[in-house]
Amino acid sequence: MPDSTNSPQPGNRLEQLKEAYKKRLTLEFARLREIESHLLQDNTRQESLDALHSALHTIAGAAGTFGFHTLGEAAREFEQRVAKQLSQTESLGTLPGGWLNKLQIALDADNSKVKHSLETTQQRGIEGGPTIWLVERDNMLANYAKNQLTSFGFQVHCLSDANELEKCRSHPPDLLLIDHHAIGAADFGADLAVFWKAILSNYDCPVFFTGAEESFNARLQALRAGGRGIL
Amino acid sequence: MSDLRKVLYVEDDPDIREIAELALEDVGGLILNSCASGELAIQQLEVFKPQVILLDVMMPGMDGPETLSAMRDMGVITDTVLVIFMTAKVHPDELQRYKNLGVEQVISKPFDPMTLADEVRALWDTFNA
Repeated sequence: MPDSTNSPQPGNRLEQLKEAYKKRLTLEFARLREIESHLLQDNTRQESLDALHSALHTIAGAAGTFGFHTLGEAAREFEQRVAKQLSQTESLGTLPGGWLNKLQIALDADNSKVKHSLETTQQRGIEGGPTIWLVERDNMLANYAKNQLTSFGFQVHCLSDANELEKCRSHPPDLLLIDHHAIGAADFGADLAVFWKAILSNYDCPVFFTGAEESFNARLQALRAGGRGIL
Repeated sequence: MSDLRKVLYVEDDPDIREIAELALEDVGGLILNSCASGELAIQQLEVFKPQVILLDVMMPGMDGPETLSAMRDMGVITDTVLVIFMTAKVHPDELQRYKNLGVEQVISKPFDPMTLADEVRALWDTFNA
């Protein structure tokens, strides 16, 4: 049991850690500026892209914990773009111009917010907030997505099978996120689009399918099934 | 079911390690052994005997899955130990990799320091249900 007479209270320590992290971000941005200067000379340089991916991943995974949510999300977005570039699934040069400036703007936005203690920086499923129904068969993925979405203030209700959508219509969601494999064991083959359209006809909210594939065909299938796209 | 007390935490980022120590020890009242690398965690395992191992996925040197594989190869983890990966991204391919290692639980990063201990305890309860 910690001695409360000698140790700072958790709230104070959180603020101290936040300040320490803020100072570390100064070093992180210096590192990013150095990487940027290398990329300006050659934006396909593997070593620089690896370093950038690592730096962005570190910020994306940590910034939110210290209350720098805008910065964390911006870093996450750019990290994913660099990852695609490194895996060469997208054409080179997908990182938007001025990415570092955009990160700086995100940091400034976090810094300019009214001083919050860390306890209140993460929102957890705000009562009356937008509701998302998540249809996902994989329990691990469902829990992960639920945690992420609730931390942004959404109320998330998980369903493990698309057929459950037929049963619960009393309080419709604001958004439906559906794993396109969430159709139980049945193989609907060519009738898959018909199956989804029939189920989704009862819902007026936007629908997005989720999946590992982002190909043109996958997007087309999502649209044919009544979704607005695929995530 | 025994109450959760001892957690082995593996994370290379010193700032994240420090805030997790605060979250799990001071806020959560858990006994924590935090390590900066997979190699150090392996050394601590037999002496510390954790009930839960929290493993960051992406680390330089041995990453989380490699660390867990090494622990399993050494036979120092029993099936009463809950292993949880902590990661900033989950992709279906990665999920399959985690499941092949027998890991069914993931905590997302960034985490909330005020609720991390509750989250770990809830996963412990589910694991032992």
